[in-house]
Amino acid sequence: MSTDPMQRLASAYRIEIDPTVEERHLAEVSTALRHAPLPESSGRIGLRRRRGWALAAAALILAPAAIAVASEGTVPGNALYPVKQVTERIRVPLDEDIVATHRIEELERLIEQDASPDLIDETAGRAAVAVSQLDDPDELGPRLERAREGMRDRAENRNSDGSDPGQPNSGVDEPDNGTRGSTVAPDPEGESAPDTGSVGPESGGADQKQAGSTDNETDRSRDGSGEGAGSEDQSDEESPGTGSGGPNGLDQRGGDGRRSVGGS
Amino acid sequence: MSEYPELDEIMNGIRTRNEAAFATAYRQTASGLASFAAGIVDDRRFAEDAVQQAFLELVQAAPSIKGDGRSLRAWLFRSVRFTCIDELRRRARRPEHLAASVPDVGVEPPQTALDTDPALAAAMGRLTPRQRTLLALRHIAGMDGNEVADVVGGNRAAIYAATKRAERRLRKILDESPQEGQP
Repeated sequence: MSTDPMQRLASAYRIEIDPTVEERHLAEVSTALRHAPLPESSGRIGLRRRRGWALAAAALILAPAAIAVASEGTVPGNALYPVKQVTERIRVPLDEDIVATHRIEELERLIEQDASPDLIDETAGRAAVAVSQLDDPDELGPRLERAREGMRDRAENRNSDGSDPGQPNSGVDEPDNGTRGSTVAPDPEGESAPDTGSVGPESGGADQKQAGSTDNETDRSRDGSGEGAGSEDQSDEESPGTGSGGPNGLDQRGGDGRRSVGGS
Repeated sequence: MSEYPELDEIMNGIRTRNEAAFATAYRQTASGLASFAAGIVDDRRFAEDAVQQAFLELVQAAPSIKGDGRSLRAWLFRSVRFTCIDELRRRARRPEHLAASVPDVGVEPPQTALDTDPALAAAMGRLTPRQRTLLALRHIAGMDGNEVADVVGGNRAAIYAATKRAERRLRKILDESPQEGQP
């Protein structure tokens, strides 16, 4: 009788390749190997390698760009903030307003985030300096003023909370020193414009705005080359004609009084 | 490392189209591949051609062959399997092919299992090509269930069940056949 059919399968179908057949097959394989498109295989690897290089190059270009873009929304204290400072230095020739805009944005964001008063004050000072260095502070001056108002509100709120009355106020005032000429000085003048209208700017509203006038004077004497102060010097000397030439934020806010001076 | 260390060692040579590596692969697998092919298409000459075809295809595909020696073996068996299935379709379309070509070959008529074990060959002929494929992989090429699954693809449990069914059917056909029992 037969063995198990499955074992019969193995023996019945067993084929041992004949040596002559093997020789013929291997010769064919050898020919095929010689004609095998080796470039095709290396081409495939080459393509993969080239793709790798392309990816690396793209990453090299895109990564800094991505970091620069990501740094755009940072505020002082963030990890990417130094990147923002570098990129804005590069961008200044193309966009003069960039520094001032950034400082004001940062100030607004810090106030929004209720950051530490010290940080806000420092940023407010930088913002004021940046705005004062602009050829045309008019554009950003009002926005900075609004931010500073918000800052004062916060400070007052904090005071009413009774946390530390002295600190925020003195902190708020400090940055003013750096920017007297362009942003702070006009404000009191604007408020008092109707009254001081008849009093010339040279006499400095001596009756009531002592501080403001001395500020102006010290500005002139201390850093006559200072941007905001310098331009104000000009507008002071030829106050009637240069209404639009000087720091416009100043002229238009406090300018009413001054123009009436020229008129009278 | 797989259960085919001789093939494991030559994988790099295969990928870089080294001739010695191809010769080793051929000597390690050719007889098994030819026997497997004969289990599906009972024609020795065709079985040998199918082996050659598989190695010529391997020459083309070599750089992209992945894995170890076992993967290479599965690749070669897949190639032979496709060649066999194509051949079965071709013969089904043109049944005269067999009758016409055999006399042409003339000198030494192709050996088949019909010569060595006619009852078994007749029984195999009554199975479906897929059943023959499963039995040939399992019992002619001596593969385990996992290897069979690597070659035909698909769910291992389903393949195991289908193989068992094919075995039962072959036994049944042989039991019913009158001239059973002449190995």
